Amino acid sequence: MAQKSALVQGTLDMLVLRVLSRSELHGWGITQKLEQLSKSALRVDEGSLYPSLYRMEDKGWIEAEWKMTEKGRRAKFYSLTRIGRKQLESEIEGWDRMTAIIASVMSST
Amino acid sequence: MAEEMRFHLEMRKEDKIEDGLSSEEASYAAQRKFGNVGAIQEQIREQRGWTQLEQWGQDIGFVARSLARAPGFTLTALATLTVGIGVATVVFNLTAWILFRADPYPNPEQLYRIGYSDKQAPFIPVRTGLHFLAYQERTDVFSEFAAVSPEMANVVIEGQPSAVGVLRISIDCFRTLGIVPALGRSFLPEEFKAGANNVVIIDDLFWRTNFHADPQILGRKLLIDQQVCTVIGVLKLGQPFPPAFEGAVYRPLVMNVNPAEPFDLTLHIIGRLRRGVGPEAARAALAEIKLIGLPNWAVPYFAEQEVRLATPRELARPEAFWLMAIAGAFLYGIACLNTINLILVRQLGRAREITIRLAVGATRGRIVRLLAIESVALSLVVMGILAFAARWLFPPLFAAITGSEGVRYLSYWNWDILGAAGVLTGLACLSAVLVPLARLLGTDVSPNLKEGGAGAGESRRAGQVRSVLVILQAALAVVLLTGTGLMVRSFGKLQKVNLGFDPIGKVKAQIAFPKSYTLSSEARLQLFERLQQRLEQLPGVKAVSFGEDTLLEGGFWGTAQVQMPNGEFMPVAGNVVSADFLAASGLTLLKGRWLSPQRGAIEVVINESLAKARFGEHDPIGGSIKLLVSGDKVYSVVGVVKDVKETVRTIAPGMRFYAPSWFYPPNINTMFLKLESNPDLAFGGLVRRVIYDFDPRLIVTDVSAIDEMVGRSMWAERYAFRIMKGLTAIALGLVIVGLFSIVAYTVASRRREFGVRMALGATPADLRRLVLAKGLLSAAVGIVIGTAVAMGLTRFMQSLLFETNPYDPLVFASVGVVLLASAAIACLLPAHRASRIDPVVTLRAD
Repeated sequence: MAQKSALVQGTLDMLVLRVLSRSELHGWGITQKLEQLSKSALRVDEGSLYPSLYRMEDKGWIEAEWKMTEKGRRAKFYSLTRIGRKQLESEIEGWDRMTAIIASVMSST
Repeated sequence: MAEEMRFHLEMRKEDKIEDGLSSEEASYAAQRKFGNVGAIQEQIREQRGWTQLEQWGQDIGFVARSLARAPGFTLTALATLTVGIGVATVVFNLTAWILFRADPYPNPEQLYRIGYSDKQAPFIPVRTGLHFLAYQERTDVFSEFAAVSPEMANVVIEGQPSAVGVLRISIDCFRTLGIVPALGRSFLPEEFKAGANNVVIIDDLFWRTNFHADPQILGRKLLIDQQVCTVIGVLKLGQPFPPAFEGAVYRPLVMNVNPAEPFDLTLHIIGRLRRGVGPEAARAALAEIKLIGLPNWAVPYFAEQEVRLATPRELARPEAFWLMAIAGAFLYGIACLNTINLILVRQLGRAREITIRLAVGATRGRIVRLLAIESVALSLVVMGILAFAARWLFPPLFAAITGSEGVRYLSYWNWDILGAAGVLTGLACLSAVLVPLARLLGTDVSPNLKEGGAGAGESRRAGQVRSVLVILQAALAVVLLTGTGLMVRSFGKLQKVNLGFDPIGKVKAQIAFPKSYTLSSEARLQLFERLQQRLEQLPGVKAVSFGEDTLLEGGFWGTAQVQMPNGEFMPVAGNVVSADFLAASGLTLLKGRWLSPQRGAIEVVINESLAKARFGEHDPIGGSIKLLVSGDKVYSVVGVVKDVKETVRTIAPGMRFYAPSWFYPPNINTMFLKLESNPDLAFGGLVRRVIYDFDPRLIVTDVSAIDEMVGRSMWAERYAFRIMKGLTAIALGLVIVGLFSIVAYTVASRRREFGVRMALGATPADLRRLVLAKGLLSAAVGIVIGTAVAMGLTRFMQSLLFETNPYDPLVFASVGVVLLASAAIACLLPAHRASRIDPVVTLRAD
């Protein structure tokens, strides 16, 4: 198993939005999905995930609903709102710009 | 949030179990991975800014719980505040309304009442119609006038006649005073002409009491002095009028003035000064006016009158209202002190709790917040109760207290009352926070904790603060009690006042004739004789007579000039009465005989004062008196009767003689009835009914039981007395409650000390004495201070006191005794508790 990396500061919101843009998920599902998408390279800390979820819910980027899981348990499912979708786009755009800048700085040496 | 995280943990646990861990290990692993659930939740809440809110919620919940846990404190504080603030609000509103209310008329500073002064009075607010016309036509210092001619009229509603005050008003009257009917319309200019003036506007109370506030009242016909009048308007509830301008029914005044009969029309007049004209200039302009076409006899009469202007507001007995306002303020003060004391006591009781809170890290701010929430919560409940009371309880309560039916229809559910209650509550709440706060800020953590351990008694400083508050309360109560005590004494004297005749069972009915109803002297005499016979048939009536109004007629009216031994003529009251007057009035015949029923030579009966002034030591019987108007004619004196007071307050009754009714029938205007006992309420209606059936043109202006008139003449005293009595009883109750709670708390906090004392040999009686002595000492100091303050204040009550010394030692002494007794009552139970402390139990508790 590869060494797990901590998240780059400030990217958790974007990653969560990204995951939720595919399908609605509960908190546990989000951690699983992130680990799965990053091929277990990313370690998502619950201590950051939940505050982030509540923060985005308050901002209206995501909305939550209590539903049954496939296994018949009650869980809180989060989904993206229209504002959230726009937010995701602008975050991705910002991220692309940032990585390009970082890449150019890094490659210039 | 918690459920969501629980779900997360469960899922991870299942994941770990799939990895091959046991259930228990999986559960631990999951939690390890997740971290501190509580901390994460806290972090989320904090990030959402909930902490503040939650703290407030916690504090409010805490206060609610702690108030509920101390129901004694909560109920006492609530009751104290509600009663104190409620009463003070009402008293302030009532008195402020009367004492300070700005005149509610448009530009009131321009309004002046026009009257005159003469030798007898500095201001008589009446002028004749002649004057009014002359002022209107021949001066221009006033821009408009309001004039009214009040009269009593028979108004028949549903077959029942009653005498109603009818005001005939001038064209400009309502406009000058800014009065607009709430229902219907005002009078039209053409309605001020003879024949067109059979329209009336009624006032709200008349509408409510006689027509049950029927909205269909407009167009209804009323029979007023045999004339059919149409109701065209209803005035607003509580419509403010200057004195003498308020009535039940208003009609247009038809100015019908004849210079030959200047007294046919007398008017109350208020004029509006033209802009830029001062009252003195206006007065001078009016004084210039000379009436034209007066008969000779009237010229000297008007010559001695001087025009005077006065503001429209004349306040009857303002001192009664000041007294009430001050009493209300005192009561409020007592209630506030009581609440501060209660909160302080409670806070002291919680001193260790608060200290511990401070020690474990609660900020002072948080504790102040607790205090503030507590008093705001109390205030809100108090405001709620008061708002409810203002809506539902005040109207019947005030109608009962003031004894005036009109009060019942006024609303107290208004911003004046609620605002005043709010301000008073706010101040009480503030004082209840500030004083304990001042103490709290001085709270040092260590001594309080130490004190709990080392000292067995209460802290010296805490005790001092409370003592001062108790003393202040007692002092305020003493002042109130003294005021009431003096009123009690004065009232007792007024009620025992000897009028010179027995008022019980005596009734007088005053009768007026409409101006259109003219009778010759002889016909008038016969009419009254027939009416006498008719009234004698009423059940319970023992004697009936008629004559000029004399019993308690309200003042000394020197209607005749009698020659005295030195040759000078002095004013004497002369009354014509029928022969049965002695029996019907209950006058006491001292010498000689009463007037004979037969007509013959004119004979008179004189009173003691006249006998003394005219005849000195000589026997007046067989003597004679000479009047100024009767030339050389003399009247022989046949009897002497006891003096009779003209009013309840009269100290020295004036000189008076009684002459037979046939001597001058035009003056006859009153029927005197003597019953077996005081009449019931229906008797007045019965008399009116009988007189109306006898002759519907007669106006019964008033039917009064003399005994009731005695009571009515003391209205200001009675009113102030009633309210003072109530306020004082409440104040005394508050002081007892306050003292009780303080002493009870002191005993509770000194349990250990008492236990030690007992263990060292003190007897239960010793402890009882100790507690009682402390309570009584506070009360005693309060009495001394209160007495000193009362001494300074009671002289302002002088005018309300009848033959009573404002420094009456008996009153001051009894107030002291009453307060000491109250203090003793308040201390009794706590003292008893102190004496029953078991030292073993108390000391073992440590």
